[in-house]
Amino acid sequence: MTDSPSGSAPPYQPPPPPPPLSENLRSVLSLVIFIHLFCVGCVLASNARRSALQGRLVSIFGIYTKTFNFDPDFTPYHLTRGVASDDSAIVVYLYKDYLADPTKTPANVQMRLPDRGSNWLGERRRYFSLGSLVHSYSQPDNEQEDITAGIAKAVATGLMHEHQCRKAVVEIVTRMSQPLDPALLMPGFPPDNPTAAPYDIRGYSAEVWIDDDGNVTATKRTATGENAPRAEAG
Amino acid sequence: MLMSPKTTVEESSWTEVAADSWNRFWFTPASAEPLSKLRIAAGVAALLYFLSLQQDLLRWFGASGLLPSDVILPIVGESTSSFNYHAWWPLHRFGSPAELMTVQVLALISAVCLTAGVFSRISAGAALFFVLCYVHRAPMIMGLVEPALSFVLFYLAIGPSGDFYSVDAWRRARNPEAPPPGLSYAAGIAIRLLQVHVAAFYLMMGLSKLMGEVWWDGTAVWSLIAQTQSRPINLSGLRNYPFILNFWTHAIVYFELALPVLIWNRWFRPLLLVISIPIWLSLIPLTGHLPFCLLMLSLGLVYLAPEPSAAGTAARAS
Repeated sequence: MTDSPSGSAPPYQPPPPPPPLSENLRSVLSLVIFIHLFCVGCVLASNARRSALQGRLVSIFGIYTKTFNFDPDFTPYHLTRGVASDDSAIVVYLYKDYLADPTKTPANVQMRLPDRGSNWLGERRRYFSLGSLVHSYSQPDNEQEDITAGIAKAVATGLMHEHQCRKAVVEIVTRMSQPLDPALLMPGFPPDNPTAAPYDIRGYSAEVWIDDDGNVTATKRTATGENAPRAEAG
Repeated sequence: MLMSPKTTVEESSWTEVAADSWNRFWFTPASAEPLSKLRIAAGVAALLYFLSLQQDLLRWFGASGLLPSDVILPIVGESTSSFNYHAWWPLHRFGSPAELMTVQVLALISAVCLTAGVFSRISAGAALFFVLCYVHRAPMIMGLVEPALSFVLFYLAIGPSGDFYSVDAWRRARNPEAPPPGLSYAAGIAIRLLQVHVAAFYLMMGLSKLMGEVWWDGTAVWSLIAQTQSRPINLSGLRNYPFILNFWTHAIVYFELALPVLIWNRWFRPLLLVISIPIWLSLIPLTGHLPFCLLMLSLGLVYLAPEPSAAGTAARAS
């Protein structure tokens, strides 16, 4: 081991501060920072509800805030509103024959989504988000049939391809939560089993099938007895 | 319009003070050490996020999966604009297993590189790109972590987050001619942007909760516990301790509302950062949002940045 030429290590020199920014650069950066934070502030301030003004501003900034996902866009950061529809599962009954009558024919395959994944990493929560979306858009005060039918058709088609089936019934099943005080439970809801069948409320339901020409058709089931595929409109 | 000289002097001094405060806040050089610590946490969160997509990659994003692009794009199209923000992202064109696995592997590599600090700015930008790819492919199934992860990665790509605790720093240390990491304007701006954005994010979360009655009557935590399908563990034994449930609920809301205001006070800052540890750790078993809670907990690091140093202030003043 050899010593340094001076006989001891040079004293530590802290790095020099960077040269100052020019006035022009500071002005430009200030403007950019202000615009960025204004956009971010607008989208964050309108996550829970959105006024007409906020909606207009958000749509103007959208190309920036949505592209970089700065806009949570109604992401449920409230975690819960205490309503039963927080957990909406998607139940799918699959049939090999597209002419099968679901009221008379047992399903070849029955799936309840999520059927796999962990509750720690959000894998199962993606299915609940999709189920809640369909549930929300199937409510009479917020009904958007093109969205619910589109998602039902997509989910059913994907699973029909996965299981070589031609017909599916898609249902959104919302599991009601128990109240804090079990005395408030209605009759028929067992207090000691919060996953019992009475807690599962069937909501939106649709039939989807693939005909001989490969066309995929979806019809919403408006009543329990309405099961058979209807002729395609038009 | 005529103004008295006194008024002009007062306005001038007020604007000067405001401009000086603005410049001192945003343009004081800072050490990138807090950013480097946050980089590791964000890298782990990104890694967990990408891994959580692995099992259902084909089912969610495959061409014959549950949400094919031709169905998703009309649904997520903006009704108020002809421009669809989601349409041009590459996952709308990639649907085969090989293509999706390639994207997923690249995403995982970017997250590993970010955690280890390999080409930190580039890997932060790459991880952000892959997060956005998944977000724009199927926005309706995204959760709490994606918006937070997006802005964190965005700011990490601005600041020199690889200056410390990284392979980049190790490589630089081996080069005797490379200068040690010093103070940086980019680090200062990135830290300040993170501080402001995180504070606004907390305010948004707190105000969102105020819309729900359960967050007022103290039963929100029970509502989360009672969700039998999505809860990660069964905590329903706490039903017999309503005061604990009430306290837990109120603590979450009060903390989220207090942080954006009090975090700027140097006396309250350490207290809030200490409180954030049990709050976020307790939310993990309650909600199961593991990557989100870990990321939010680690975001407290950006408030641990030292006050502007004398050297930094001198550089700015000169």
